[in-house]
Amino acid sequence: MKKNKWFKSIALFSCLAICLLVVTAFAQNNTSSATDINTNKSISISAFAQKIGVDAEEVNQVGTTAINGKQLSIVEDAQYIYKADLNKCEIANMVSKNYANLVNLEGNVSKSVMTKVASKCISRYVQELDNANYSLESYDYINTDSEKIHSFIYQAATSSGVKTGDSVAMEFNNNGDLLMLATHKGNETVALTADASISEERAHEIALNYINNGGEAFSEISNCSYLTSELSIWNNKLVWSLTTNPIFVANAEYGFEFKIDAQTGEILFDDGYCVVMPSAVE
Amino acid sequence: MKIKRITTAVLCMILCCTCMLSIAANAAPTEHCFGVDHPTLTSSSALDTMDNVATIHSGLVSNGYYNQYYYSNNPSSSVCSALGQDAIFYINTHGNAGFVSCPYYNSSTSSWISSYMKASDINSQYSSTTDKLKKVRLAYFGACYSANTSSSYGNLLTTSTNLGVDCAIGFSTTIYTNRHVYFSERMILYYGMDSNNTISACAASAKADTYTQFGDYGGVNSYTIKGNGNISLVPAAYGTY
Repeated sequence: MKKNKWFKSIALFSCLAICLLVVTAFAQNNTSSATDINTNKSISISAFAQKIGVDAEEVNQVGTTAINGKQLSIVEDAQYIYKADLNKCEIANMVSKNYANLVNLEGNVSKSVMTKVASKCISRYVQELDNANYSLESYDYINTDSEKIHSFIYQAATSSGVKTGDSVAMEFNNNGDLLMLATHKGNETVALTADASISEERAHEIALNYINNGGEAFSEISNCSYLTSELSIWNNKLVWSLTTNPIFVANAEYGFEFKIDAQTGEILFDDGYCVVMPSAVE
Repeated sequence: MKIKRITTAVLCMILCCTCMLSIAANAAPTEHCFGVDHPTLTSSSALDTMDNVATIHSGLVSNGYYNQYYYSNNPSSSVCSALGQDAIFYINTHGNAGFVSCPYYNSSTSSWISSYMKASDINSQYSSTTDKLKKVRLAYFGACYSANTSSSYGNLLTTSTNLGVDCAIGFSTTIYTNRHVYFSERMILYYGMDSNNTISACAASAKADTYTQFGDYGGVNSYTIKGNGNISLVPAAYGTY
């Protein structure tokens, strides 16, 4: 009788433990970053559908996400997944649902033909700026075993040449299909009105000083050449945007990038890379 | 007497739960995340990727993968040995064509030692084993030029996939640290932990997000996928045998 009770207790507790494990496993399977949300077709979705040239019935909001400090809706139609500010009808980025299958098409389409396609996509998908225009900043044809991509970067600048920080990246395959479009928001007003009180030379000194403080080997670098050195907008501030040419120190190649506040000289953003030279390994 | 019986039952319950949880945890496919925390910029190994590695590790564990720890400053021999044990291998460090840097601190000599995991080391360690690298679902080599081929050491991605890794990812250009951190977390955690997304789709979406966030790619658009990019990372699983 005693034994029976003891077994009952064990059986009960085992059942509880199994339940706990099942619940934990179920919770894990349901952990997902992109949360489905049930939405009706709102006015903003209808307007967005109109902008991208599809019927509102084809567009569904499937989640939300935050990028660059902005809450964005994740929306999809038959061809693309968009991240967008639906209230402003602005696309932050869009990626083909069939990217992996479309990215490797063989072909030999010229840059000029693809540039016309890219210009049309800007008109269709990117909000026009009031006081600045987009121009082609760079074009690359990437041709690897797994990808064949025409890659474009467009940047916007005011008539006086100050970059507004607005830019668009696009990728096309050899069939002219748009595989990816990504935008970055700048600030036209700041680009038009702000003046730099820090000179370009002073910005170079600030960057060099930062590099010199990186350690003993870097302290001896007395000057450094810059790949780019231009006024732009970063997080709504006028900045000197600097990218260094490669710096070779202690069996390694380093590169740095800075966004330096053109009013205060504060480094608002920095980033870098390091490539270990094979001579270090041998 | 009654109290004794209750105590015995409670103890049995705790033992039972512990055993079951332990079995469940150990049954989960394992992962290894390696990073570097080097104190100065005076050597070629300067970098601190530990926040990123902790984040990736934590996200994987929350989604069915298992490892009690994530790892900093391990010698290349340890990193290479770990590669074959797990479903997911992740490293964020410096590198070049055919190798990644694995600096570690030697406490007996109080000095930093440079070591490098080369594609040729991976081949030497695993080519003659029975399982080779078939357990590995994803091998992520987060370093500059990690997708490129070295005439001396070979190619990390093709070596891995030839030995059975389902999908290997590296980069064919330099990659800037902050942009790469953002890219890797968007790719593996934000998109990768959704079973509807393939690795290829995750990488493409993470690339677009990196541009939207920073206004340029910082080199992450040079990601290269070898093997099968059409698999998903969840539900957690080992590689295909």
